[in-house]
Amino acid sequence: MNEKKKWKLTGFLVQWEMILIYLLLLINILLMLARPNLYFASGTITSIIQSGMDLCPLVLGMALVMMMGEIDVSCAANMIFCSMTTGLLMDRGVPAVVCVLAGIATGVLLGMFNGVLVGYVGMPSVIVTISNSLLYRGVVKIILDVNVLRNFPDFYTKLAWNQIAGIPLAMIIFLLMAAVFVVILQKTGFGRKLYIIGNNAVTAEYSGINVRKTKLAVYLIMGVMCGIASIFFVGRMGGGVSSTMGVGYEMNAIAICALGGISTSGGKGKMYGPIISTFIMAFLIYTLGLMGVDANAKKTLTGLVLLIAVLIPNINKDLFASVRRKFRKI
Amino acid sequence: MGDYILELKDVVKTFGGVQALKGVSFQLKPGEIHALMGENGAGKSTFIKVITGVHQPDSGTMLLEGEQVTFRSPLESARMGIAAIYQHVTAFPDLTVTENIFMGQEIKNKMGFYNWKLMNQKAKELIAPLSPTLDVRKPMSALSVAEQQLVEIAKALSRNARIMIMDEPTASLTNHECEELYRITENLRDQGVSIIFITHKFEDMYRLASRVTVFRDAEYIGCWDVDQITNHDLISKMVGRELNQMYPEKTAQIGQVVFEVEGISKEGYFKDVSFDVRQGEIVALTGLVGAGRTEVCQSIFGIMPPDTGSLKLNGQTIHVRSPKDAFRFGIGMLPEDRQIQGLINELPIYQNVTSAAMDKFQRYGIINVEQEKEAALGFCQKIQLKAESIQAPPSSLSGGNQQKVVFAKLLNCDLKVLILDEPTKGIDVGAKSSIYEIMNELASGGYAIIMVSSEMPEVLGMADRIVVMKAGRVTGTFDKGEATQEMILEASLRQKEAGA
Repeated sequence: MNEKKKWKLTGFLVQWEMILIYLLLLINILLMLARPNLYFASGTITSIIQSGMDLCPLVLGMALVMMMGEIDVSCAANMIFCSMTTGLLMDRGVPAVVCVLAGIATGVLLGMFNGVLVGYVGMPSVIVTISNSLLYRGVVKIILDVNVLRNFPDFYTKLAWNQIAGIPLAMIIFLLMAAVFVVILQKTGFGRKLYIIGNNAVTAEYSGINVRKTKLAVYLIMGVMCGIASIFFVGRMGGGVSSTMGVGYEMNAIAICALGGISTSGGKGKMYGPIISTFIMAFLIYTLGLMGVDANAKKTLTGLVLLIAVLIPNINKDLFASVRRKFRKI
Repeated sequence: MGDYILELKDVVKTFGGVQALKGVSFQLKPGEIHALMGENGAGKSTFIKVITGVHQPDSGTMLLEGEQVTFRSPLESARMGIAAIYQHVTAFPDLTVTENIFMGQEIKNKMGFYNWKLMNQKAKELIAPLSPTLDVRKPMSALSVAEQQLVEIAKALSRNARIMIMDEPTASLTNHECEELYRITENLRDQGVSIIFITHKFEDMYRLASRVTVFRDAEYIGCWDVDQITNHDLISKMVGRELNQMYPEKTAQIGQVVFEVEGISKEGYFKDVSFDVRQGEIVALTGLVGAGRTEVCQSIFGIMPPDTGSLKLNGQTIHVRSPKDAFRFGIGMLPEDRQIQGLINELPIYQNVTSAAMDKFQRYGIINVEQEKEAALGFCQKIQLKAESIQAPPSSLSGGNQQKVVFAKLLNCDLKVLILDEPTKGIDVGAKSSIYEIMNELASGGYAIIMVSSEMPEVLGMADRIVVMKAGRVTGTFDKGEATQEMILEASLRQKEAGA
């Protein structure tokens, strides 16, 4: 029994996160070859990345939720709810700082509701969050009706549209947050608990891990991320929000995490995957747009990506087995 | 070769690079009960799957009544009258007994609808000789494990099985239920069914079988008449080495009372249970399955806290409301089902070992992985875990070594009281004795140990004191010297009034 497993280059090069990087490069190369003028034009890459940053905080939160083997379908509705809180308070002339914090606090509160129902009441997270998604968005629709909130702090749009030396500001913030999440999931005891719960919640309980509390904590983090996402989202939308916005964002976030290698049944994957996949999705959607694919067809893409991402591990197993069988016959 | 109803010659089966069967042979006489024994991983399960057509052998021949056959699926073997009753019952838990029995061969009326009335009646007829009182309209999940097995047997009979393969049917049965199963098995034999009986228990073999075949390391070791081989020889054939002493010499010094359970009750599970454990002592909690032993342990460990009664650690009353509390007080538990409750099969061994006390390796919440691995490696070496690497997942280990991983997990916590719920369940003979060694060492190290066990030899061999339970109550307490198998059995069947 040796303590250290030898680090192998081949192993490193074929792990899922690396495959995602190849995929990202491949899309870039295709785009480069198809539209060289556009690709090298200044601002193209920047705007592609900016276009994909509006849901990035949701992706980070969702990765933790999915790692536990749970899901949060209500995050987009939660995000819109947070935007509404901020917007309504701004309309009443409350100081901007308070409005932003109140928005995030709303996210935490709604996340806590999810977390209590999933963790302490023990309901299945799919049902809880689908119901709450309808609930949260329903309340927003009742309050806002067809009105559009337009009064948001300036830094919202700056965050989404500005850049520092050609680097999108949103991406910088995203990568900073992503770094924190990498540390949380890959380095801390809290992250390890998520892996353990995602793999076997019963063993986790028997190992003295407070599964309920941990689940609640993750949904609280998800709530914070919904609050932060509202800043990215409203900024991206040019500083306005209505009750019908952001529909389907939760599915994008789930698809990105699944593509990033976070198993939908929990316990598998690394934080790097969803981070890389966020960029893949941005480039993919933009490239399709350039190819003249209809905007509605792009939604189909999200569905396809999710399906394929969930399928891949299964296909892989069978594929490798059949390849091996064939080799043995030869 | 008309003597045999089923004969296999030089069957080879490989999975990936692993040889699961290295040219094994086997002969089954008509109307005999043939025991198949061997350690876990000896290839018994693969062998059965080859017979039933779940797996196809790479080479070798199979003769059914002298004619060569090949089965491409379990359906084909079932058609030829071969039925297997697996260790883990494979029924549909939410469907009724009738539905399970007639699954795939439903009787239809003229309109093409299912004729449930007729099927219920036929199911009743099939079940009646096995268990006259069983209601065939009940869902499978409402039955005991023993009853579920009877349903599987009835199902096999409904398909006119001539050869029945039973894979460790007695593994989770009580003594009484075993007797019942023996009787039924003998009846089947008398009706001319040939039976392959896979088991770990010598009682099963002596009671039922006329011949025994032993597999070891995927190889055929031999076949003997049961009355011509001694227990000792058989064990050494199975293990491949001499096994001098199953139970180690006790070395622990028994000290002060560490842990006291005082009159704890839990509605519907157990009532007024009291016992204590001293330092270095192993107290066995025994009784029939369903006597409430596991539930008592789960209560102590905080999985389901008791309604009334108290726990005392070193004389101080403690309140354990969750496993987390239990660990904080120094009470650890090795759960009964290591796959479901003890292991995280996808994570590396070292992370399994440290999972119950990660705080030790954290600073500001960040895990020091090097320190963690070093500690895990230390514990794994201490209990002589056989693994390729501590980076490997526990799913790559044998049952005995998986259990050692759970032991290492407990060692990593600073514990005083260890609860071991069926520590050798599903572990082969060779690995069992090393588990006993570990228990002995732990006792010597000053742990107070509570062991739940259904195996009488294990209880008598390991325990310093024996607490017997029946239907949720303590019905007897015995010291090591005075206890006999008969006394324990008597106490575990005794009616109501709480003893000693």
